[in-house]
Amino acid sequence: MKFNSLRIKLLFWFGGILFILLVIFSFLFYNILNSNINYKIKEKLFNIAINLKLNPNLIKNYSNYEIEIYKNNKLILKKGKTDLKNLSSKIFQTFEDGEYINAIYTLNIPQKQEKIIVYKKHIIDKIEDIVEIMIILESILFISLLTLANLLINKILFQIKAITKSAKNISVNNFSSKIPLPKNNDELKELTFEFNNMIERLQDGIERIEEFNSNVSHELRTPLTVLKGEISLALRKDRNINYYKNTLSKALEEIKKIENIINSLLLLVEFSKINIQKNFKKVNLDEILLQVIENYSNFAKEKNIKIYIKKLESIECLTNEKMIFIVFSNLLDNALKYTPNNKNIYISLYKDNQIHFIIEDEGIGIEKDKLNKITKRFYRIEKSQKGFGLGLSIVKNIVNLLDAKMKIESVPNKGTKVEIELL
Amino acid sequence: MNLLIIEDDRDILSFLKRGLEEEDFNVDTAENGEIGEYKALENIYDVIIIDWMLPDKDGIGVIKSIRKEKNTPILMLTAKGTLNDKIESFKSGVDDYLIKPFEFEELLLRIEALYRRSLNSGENIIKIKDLEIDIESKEVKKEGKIIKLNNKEYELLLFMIKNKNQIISNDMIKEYLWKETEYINSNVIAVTMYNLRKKIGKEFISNIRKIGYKLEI
Repeated sequence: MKFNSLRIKLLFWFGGILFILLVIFSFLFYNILNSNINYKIKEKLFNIAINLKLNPNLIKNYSNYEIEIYKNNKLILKKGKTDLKNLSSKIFQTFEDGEYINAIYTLNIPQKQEKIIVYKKHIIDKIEDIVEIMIILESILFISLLTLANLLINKILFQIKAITKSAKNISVNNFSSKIPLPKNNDELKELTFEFNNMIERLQDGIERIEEFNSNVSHELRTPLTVLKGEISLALRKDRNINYYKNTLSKALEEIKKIENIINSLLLLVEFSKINIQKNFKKVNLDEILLQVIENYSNFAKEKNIKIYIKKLESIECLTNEKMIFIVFSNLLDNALKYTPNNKNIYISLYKDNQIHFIIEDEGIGIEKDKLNKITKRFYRIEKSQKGFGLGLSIVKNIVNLLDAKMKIESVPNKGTKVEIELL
Repeated sequence: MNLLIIEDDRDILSFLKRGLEEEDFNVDTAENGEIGEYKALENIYDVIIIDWMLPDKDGIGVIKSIRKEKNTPILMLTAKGTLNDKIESFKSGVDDYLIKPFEFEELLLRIEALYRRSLNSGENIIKIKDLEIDIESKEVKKEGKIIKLNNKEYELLLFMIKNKNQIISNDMIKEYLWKETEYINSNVIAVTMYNLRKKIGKEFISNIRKIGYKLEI
């Protein structure tokens, strides 16, 4: 057991407070008991004195008491050997006498110059015995409360130990261990619940990274396969110059594709909420959109695809310009890629409660069961076109980072509609 | 030898086709799963090469539907290389597995090995009575003497060996050797078969009138 453990700390504090409380209690108890006993003795001696004042002849009845009765300052009756007159100057006084207590009470009636002094030796045991018993009882109480506290702490710490144990078992490769929820509806249950939630979120995150890695490596493998294949094919035999030229230009093309993928990956690395939101400023969305459309006008012309702007409003909003640019570019790029020649693309940008960016194409469409995959798995519908499948995944990523929403509706062979909602 | 490559990436398809044709393979291609599956089921191939990730249909799905009807050797070509991926593909009925990027030479050797296994428990030399066929050198010997077979005759012989003890129709032979070539009729097939039987000995392949031919071992 460690000395800085929670258990020791809790026991130390609990024990300390308990000890102080017991000491205060004992002190008060002792004082109250003491004054109470004094009061009782005083009352008893006073009663005797009053009785003697009314009837001095009763003096014989109080066999255990020593008594002196004065009238007109003269001693008229005395019982006992002790000189009571000089014993005490106070009305009431107790003296300790070994294990016992002696008490004296003087009743003065100055008008009649009468005085009655009652004295009792060994009137009562000293209360030290009671104090001793109290100390023993309190010690027992102290130890049993401390033991009880230890048991309670154990019960609480058991749950914490379970959490510690589970935490030790968790690694990047193993998220399987979950902590069983305690029965009691207390803070520990809440902690356990949240801890389990955290494990789930981490697991989700790691899975996403793994999936991402596998997708990236898949993306890289395709151009590498072509590179390796073309080069090894060229080297198998003696070829003519044109063959080599052809192979080299193909190799260059594939290297460019690899470069593209790596550039996009670097872009994805830059993406973090803090990075993006740090660069928030007022941006004209319509200006960016028109710029993007112009950038792609040649590509559209090549395929004889017409881009229609259905709706365009001048919208200024606080966001990250670069990210918006990438979102618009990637979505238009995708729409152009998957739309056959001579078809149309429709774009809208407007604002109601939110800002809407909608891009509709007359492309090959996506079947329902693939709609989820399309953003998740960097899936490409028809990979015959040049380019690579990270585009939509990047868009999805940015949309999440900007706290925006993306909706995709699609009918196979009719077209796809992608809508981005910005707040 | 007839090959079908089902691969959606045109650049990969391009060098595969070029390289394999250089090695005297008859290469047929499909750029998506649906066409690939259709071709695999309709036509006769010696080896099918398939990519896992296809645009329309999962390669595994295509393999499963091919396996319901045919046991043509299938080689999976894929970027997915984990153990679980391999297990999944072998379970679906794949015969071999090659991870992208790969050496062209290795692909070639694997295709040849698959083909040999489908002909003849995997050995290079097939012996039928006094006939000896060396698949590696494409040499055919009868009683130790080399017989010269032309390309079509050689392919026809291997096709008959692969489908030994089965009656093979004119249509099947036409489809395997000439595909859709229009001018080929039963006459051309009969002549080719006649020449082959003359060279290797008539006792190997029997002619079943109006139905087809059979090589019995």
